[in-house]
Amino acid sequence: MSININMPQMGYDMQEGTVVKWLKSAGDEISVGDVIAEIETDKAVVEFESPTKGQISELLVEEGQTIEVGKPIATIDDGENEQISDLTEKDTPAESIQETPVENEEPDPNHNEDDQQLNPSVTTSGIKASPIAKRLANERGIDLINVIGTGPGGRITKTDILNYSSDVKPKVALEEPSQVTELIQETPVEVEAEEKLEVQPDPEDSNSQTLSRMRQQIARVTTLSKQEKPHFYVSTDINMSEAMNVRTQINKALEADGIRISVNDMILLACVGALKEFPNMNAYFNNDRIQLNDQINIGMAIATDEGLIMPAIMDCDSKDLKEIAKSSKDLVHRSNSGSLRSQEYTGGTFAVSNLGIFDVTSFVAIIQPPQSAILAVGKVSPRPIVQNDSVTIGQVMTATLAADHRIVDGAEGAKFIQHVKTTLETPMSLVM
Amino acid sequence: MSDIQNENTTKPEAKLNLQGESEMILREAVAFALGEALEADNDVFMMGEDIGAYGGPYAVTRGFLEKYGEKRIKDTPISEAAIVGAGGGAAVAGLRPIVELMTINFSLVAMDQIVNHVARFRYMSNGQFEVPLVIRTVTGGGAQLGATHSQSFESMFASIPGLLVATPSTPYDALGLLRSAIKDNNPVIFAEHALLYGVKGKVPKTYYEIPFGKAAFRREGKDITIIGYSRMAHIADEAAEILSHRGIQADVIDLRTLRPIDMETIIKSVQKTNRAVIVEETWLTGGFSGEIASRIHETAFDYLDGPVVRVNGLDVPAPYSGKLEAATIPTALKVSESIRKNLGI
Amino acid sequence: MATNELRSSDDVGFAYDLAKSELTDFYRQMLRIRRFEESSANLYMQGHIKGFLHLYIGEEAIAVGSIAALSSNDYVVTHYRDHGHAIAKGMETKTAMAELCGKSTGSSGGKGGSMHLIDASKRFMGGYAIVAGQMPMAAGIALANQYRGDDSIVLCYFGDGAVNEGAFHETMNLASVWNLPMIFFLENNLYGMGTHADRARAGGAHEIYKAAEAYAMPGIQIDGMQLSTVYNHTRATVEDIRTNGGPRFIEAMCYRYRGHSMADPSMYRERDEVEENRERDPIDNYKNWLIGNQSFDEKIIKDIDSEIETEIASAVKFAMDSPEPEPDTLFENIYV
Repeated sequence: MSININMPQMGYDMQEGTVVKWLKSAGDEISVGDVIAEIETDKAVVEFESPTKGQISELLVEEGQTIEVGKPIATIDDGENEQISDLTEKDTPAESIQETPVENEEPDPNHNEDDQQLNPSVTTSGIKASPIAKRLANERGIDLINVIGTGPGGRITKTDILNYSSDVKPKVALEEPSQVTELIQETPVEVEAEEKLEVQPDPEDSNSQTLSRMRQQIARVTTLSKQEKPHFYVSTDINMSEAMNVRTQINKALEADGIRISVNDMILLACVGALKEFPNMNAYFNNDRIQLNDQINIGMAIATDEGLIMPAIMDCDSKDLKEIAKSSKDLVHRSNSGSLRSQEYTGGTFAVSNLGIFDVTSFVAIIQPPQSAILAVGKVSPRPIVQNDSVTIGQVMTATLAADHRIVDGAEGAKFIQHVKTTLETPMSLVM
Repeated sequence: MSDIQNENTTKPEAKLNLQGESEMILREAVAFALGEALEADNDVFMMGEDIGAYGGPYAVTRGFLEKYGEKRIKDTPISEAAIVGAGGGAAVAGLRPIVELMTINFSLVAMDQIVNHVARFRYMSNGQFEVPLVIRTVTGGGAQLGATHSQSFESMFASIPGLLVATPSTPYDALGLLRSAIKDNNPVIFAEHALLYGVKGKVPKTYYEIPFGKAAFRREGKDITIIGYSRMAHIADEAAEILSHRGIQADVIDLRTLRPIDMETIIKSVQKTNRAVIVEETWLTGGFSGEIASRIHETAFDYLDGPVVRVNGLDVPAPYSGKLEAATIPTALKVSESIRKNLGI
Repeated sequence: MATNELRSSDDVGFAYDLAKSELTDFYRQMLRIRRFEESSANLYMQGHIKGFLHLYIGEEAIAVGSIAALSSNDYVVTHYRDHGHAIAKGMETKTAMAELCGKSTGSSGGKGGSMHLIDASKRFMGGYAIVAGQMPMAAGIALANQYRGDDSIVLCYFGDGAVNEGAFHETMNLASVWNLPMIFFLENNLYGMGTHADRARAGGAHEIYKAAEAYAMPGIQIDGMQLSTVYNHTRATVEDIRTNGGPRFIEAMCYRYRGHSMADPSMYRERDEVEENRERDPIDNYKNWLIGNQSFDEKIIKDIDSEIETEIASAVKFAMDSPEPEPDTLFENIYV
């Protein structure tokens, strides 16, 4: 049966060899140990002895050809019956001794520290604080910018934080922030100078847990939002029956392309249209000024193990339904793999929070600073509706807009949500 | 090699009463453990340069040749590689040899035998061999013995898989650890410090052992953790005394063994104090203090109020001049100043 | 280079007290080692054996002849060209082959490799990779035997390169000073890797055994390519040590037909030299002696040839079919 003769491994780090000269030809009979070729390794030219007996069927490489160790250079008929295959087979040539360095994975999907607009003070470069000082400051809502560091090089130490909290007087009323970004001090507890606060959580008490960084961030952001933005709400019920039909049809058509439109994708696109009509809903409030945004970047709520994040699909105004669908899937995927870009975190101009999958009919969302509005939608469910004077079943979804009353007033908010409703109830507009 | 160590006279064997404790110096504690082992187990024997007729270069084995005989107390030629390698072979063949390398400086002559053979027999045979070998040696500087007689290599051995390393600093620890070392079926580097043989301490009369991998507190306090081993454990404690005068209370941890090392005790302490300092006699670069500091950073980073501080020997070969040499070895004052500079307290 | 005149080499009296089966066993063992080595060379070229592989081809008479003169209580310590010694001391070829292939069924579970074949149960205390590094250990084992008063001896092999290492000198001296019951067995194939031993040894490398005198140790030189010679002299030396104690030195002149290792293209030797030495092939010569001098039937030889071929093929198959070690064995047996 036919056996392969492979380029032999002739030195522990040999990767490839060159057949300098064939000393046998096709048709020659050979015995074990006959020199059949001269092979050049990177060290020398060596005689290659045949590992088997038989008749050479074919020489597979030419003189002067360089071949990887382990690849066949000739075939031999050893005169036996068909049995197990070659005398060869081996995996890859001598592997490099070094191990591949372990990739150091460090994706931080939250990028909390880089969220300059939300919380620059805790970790901005230039403020030196020891790890425990930072931790204590976070836990107690102390802004490091206000702490004087007495450690070497001006480092803020644990003592500095402990001493700081005992100096602050309790606040009764909330102060008007001069900057959107400034954190309101939490009402601190009066501390006796001698008393050392236990900062480490008591390992015995399983009811008391430290907040994860993400939760701390969420706590900060939502508190800020509610403190500075006067929220008002407008709700409407949207008949999604048509939209659901259109969606089914579209998805059938797009099956071949592997694209699936979700209900949320349609809602996002509907909002895009409405935001174009009502640019105040797509604005930031900054220092008593309204800042309109020329791009529409819509945030969508994505649930992670640690909490809800709202990264944005950038530049939605030029996207059609297919593109929105692709972008939203991509965003979810990259959220899960922790590879979101920083601008996706911080560049949203509007947001849609959809808790439909949790079987929620309606809810009220908190606006994400520095945005001015957010749309909260519940699930699409069959409900009785009145149509043409008779009661029928419609696929109904309740949407609630929360808006910042400093920029948007009631009528505008109502018209905005009306626009969204109309778009979704006449869904052909979404695909044209 | 001068007779300098024999100037510390050995007391007559400490008289042991039947109850309580006795006081002895570290040299006596080591001798006691050796004698006890020789008497209890015929498979135990000792090999080394000048351990017999000379009475031991540090007087540890004074009287042993007379008491235990030539077969069990073997004076060797000056052949460190053969001493260690033969110790390894005898161990593999079922005996329990205790060999001596006169100083850790000379262990370099036997490095191949220690690392490539003794520490590898078990692994390369996949468990067919046991190597119950104790390599006793003398480490440390500060006696103006020059650049090739003043080094401390125990941290180097502590990075070798297959070896265990002990560095006692008190008679109690020396006795307890040596007992464990002799009973252990793995190769042990037992490093006695040249300047600690005269240290006094109380030793219980009842039998006790100290397991490897268990550090000891020399004192406790909540403000800072000071870690040391061998002679530097004493320096660490002295530094803690200085700190106490400015209101700082320290946990002083004596590692006692470098491999295995008791990281658990260290981490618990750092979690309490938020500050760590390591005092080590050998050169800063590549010393074990770097290893310990890294582990603290990896495990207890969020508890730290500042970087882990290392106070090590200077990165220079040991000079002969007394004044120069003193400048190369950590002192309590240097430790205290380093703490002030790096941690602000 | 011409081979040296040797002090003694004779097989008179070799066969008279050995049974026919023992004579056949010598042939079988040498052939077993030869075929094992050829097979492992093939496996290496196919990439199944990695790292370093040092072949014993040409030197089989030494391992077989000398180890046959030992009792099962005696110990062997050797260098990295250790497959021959391992097999001669009783390691199964399949276990050795599996070890070479890094499999869990190997003598060290795949963790030792070619240079560290070890079988404590057969008192084959291992091959070691550091030149002369194995020698102090051998002295230590001999020391333990002496200490316990048992009459086991240690046979310690080393090469012509090792005699220039510090550990050689320290061990020779210690063994002689303490009268340790061991044989210092020098396999002098005249090449320390790629350097001819004459270039490395003060006074040349053709009578290294004379160095033993400097250690007050009796030493002889023999022809390591003659099985009978090796057997006779080793046996005599073993008896001498058991009766009179103390170390002895045997220098066996031999030749390796292959390079230092599989990575060595042997550029430092002339082709003619290798060819000339083929005439000294210990297995061919022994076989011819069995047939010509001892009236062995050629059929016996052929049967053994066939038996060994089957055994080695089966050893290869065993090694190929065996699994690799599990990842968690990485941390096993570092400490007790």
